[in-house]
Amino acid sequence: MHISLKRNLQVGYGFSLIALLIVSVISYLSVNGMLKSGKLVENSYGVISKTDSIVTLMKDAEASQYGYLLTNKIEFLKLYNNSEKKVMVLLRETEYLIADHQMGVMTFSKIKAVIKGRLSVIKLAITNRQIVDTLSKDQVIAGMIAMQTLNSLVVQALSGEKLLLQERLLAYETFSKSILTIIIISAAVAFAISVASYTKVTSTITDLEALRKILFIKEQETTGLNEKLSAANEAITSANIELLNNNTELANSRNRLIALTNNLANQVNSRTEELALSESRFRLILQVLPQIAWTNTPEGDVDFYNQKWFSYTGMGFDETKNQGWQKVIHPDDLDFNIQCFKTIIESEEQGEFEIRERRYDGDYRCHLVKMAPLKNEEGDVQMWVGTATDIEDIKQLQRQKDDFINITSHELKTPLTSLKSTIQLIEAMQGNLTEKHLSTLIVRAGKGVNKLAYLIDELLYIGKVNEGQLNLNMERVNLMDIIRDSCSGISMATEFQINIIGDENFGVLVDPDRIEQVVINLVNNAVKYAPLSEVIDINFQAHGSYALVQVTDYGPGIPEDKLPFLFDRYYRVQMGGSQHSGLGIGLYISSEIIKKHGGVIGVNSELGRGSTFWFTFPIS
Amino acid sequence: MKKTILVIEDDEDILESIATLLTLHNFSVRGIVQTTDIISVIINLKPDLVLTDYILPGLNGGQICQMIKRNVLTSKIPVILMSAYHKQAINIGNFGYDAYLPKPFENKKLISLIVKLLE
Repeated sequence: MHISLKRNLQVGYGFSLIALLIVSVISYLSVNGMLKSGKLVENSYGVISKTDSIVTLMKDAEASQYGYLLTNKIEFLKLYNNSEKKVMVLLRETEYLIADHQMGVMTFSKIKAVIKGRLSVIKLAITNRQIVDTLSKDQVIAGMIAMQTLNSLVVQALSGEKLLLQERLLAYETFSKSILTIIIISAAVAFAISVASYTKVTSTITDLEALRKILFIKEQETTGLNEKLSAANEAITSANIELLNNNTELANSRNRLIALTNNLANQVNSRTEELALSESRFRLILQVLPQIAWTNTPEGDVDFYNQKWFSYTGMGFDETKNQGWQKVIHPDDLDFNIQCFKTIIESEEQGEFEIRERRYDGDYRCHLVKMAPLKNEEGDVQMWVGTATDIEDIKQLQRQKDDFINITSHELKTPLTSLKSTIQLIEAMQGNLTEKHLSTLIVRAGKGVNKLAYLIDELLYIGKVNEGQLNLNMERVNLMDIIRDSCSGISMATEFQINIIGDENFGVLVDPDRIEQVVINLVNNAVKYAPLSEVIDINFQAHGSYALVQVTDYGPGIPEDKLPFLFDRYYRVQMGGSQHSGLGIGLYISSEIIKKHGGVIGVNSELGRGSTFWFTFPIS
Repeated sequence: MKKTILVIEDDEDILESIATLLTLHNFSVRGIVQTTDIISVIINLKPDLVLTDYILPGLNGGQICQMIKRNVLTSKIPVILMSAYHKQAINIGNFGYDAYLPKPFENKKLISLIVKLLE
């Protein structure tokens, strides 16, 4: 608005000034022209007037000359003297007035020459009159001619001058007329510009007033706003102060935070290092475990196996990762395994179960699977750690042990049965028993007691063997004697033919009771497991520095796959669903006795052909 | 007429004790320790009752019981199975025997069991 007003004013004043300048120039030129024309007119009028005066004065001078000449009176000379002076003055003045007019100048120079000539003539005549006191006719005529010439020149001059005057008057009129128009136009233009300027300025002033009012209102508002602003400023100032305080506090907090963050970062780094170390230890522990070990994600996917898994299953990680392990589980155990696994994962507690897993050679072996969750401080499961322990051997041993207990119980109960029954008979038949009857029953009871005592001894003996407390009482004895003694009881009780072949004088250094126990055991086994053999051969001979004893039966033989286990503790061959009496520890005890002697025990067997049990020991 | 009881028992002492007991209770006793051709023996003997041990060389007591019960000539003969093993330990199963007698037993119990089965 302000810029617009200023520009309007500038433009208005600019136009006004230009218009006024133009009008002024035109007016000046017109007025100047008019004034010049006026001056020229005035000059013309002066020339005409002065010319007339000159003519009149010349006439006066002529007449006064004539009067003097005629009368010789001085008074006439006075007039002449005045005229002459005045004419000269007028001539000068006229000459000045016609200086700008060529024609006039030429004509007037002629008039001036005529006048000067006449005046000089008149002066001469007057001088002559004073001397001669005469007036000639020639003088008069000359005077008349001179005057006529003068008159004609004056007329010529005046007519020229009048023409000039007319021209000048015309010019003057033209200027006079145009000057009016110009003045009117100029006045009109000036008026119009003034009006326009006035209108514009008025309008602008009105606008300005309006703006001033608005400005006033705005000022008032601004004042109000200023007050508010001041209040706000104060508030801001106080807020700023508070903010500054807060900033300071914040800066302090930030510094503390930075310190804490640094501390935390250090702790995290150190914790991460510890964790990495801990994890590598953990992995190392898992790697060196003799069992299969692995880790699962919280959801149960396998993400790590130890080396044992790969060597045991013969499978790679990609093959068995996530749920790939299921290939290794015995198909009959898989559903059970999945169920147990799911139950443990859902319970988020450790658990265990037994399943069969396939070894690299295709053999399924019983495993004890244990799984435990690793939880964080919040109790959330981070991972699962699992181990699978091959308990096939333990299971086998457990079964053998259970069998042994059952067998032992059975074997103890068997003599107890006859003993109990016999005692009850004696009780029931009190008074009705003959001496022979009683004696038979007592002998039978005694046999039962002896069997029990024997079994208990055997049990105690195996206890000693298990604890490594088997002691030998070495003696130099004849081997043939030992073998014969061993077979004496057996030969009487059975229908077997026992052939003993060996050097009658084969002396050896052994514990005779223990070697006898071994031979009895081997022969008893032959009787028990080869009932249809009829013949049992016993051979002994020297074999280098060792003695070799062989017990051969011609029974059904022993399956090849059973042979490696025959001398194991609690192992008992089962054939055709039949079972045999005895604790089933005879071969184990025999093996331990022979080992204690520094020898070796073994068996050669062929199905349908029979078996040969043999043992060696150093001769001395 | 005396009832004939066949006793199959590999332990001779037990066999003798049982034989003495049953004879005393007026039974005719036939005892055997071998199970070879056992079904022929039974068919020929036509015992009124068979008392057999479970653990025997060759066929076991359960198998003998099954053979008796499956043969029309012998299926009516009551069979008592006895063993020093506990029933569960040897997993005897259902061989069709009429009674099970754990060893060692009371003589009275054996007699009452026989009498009951012979009624």
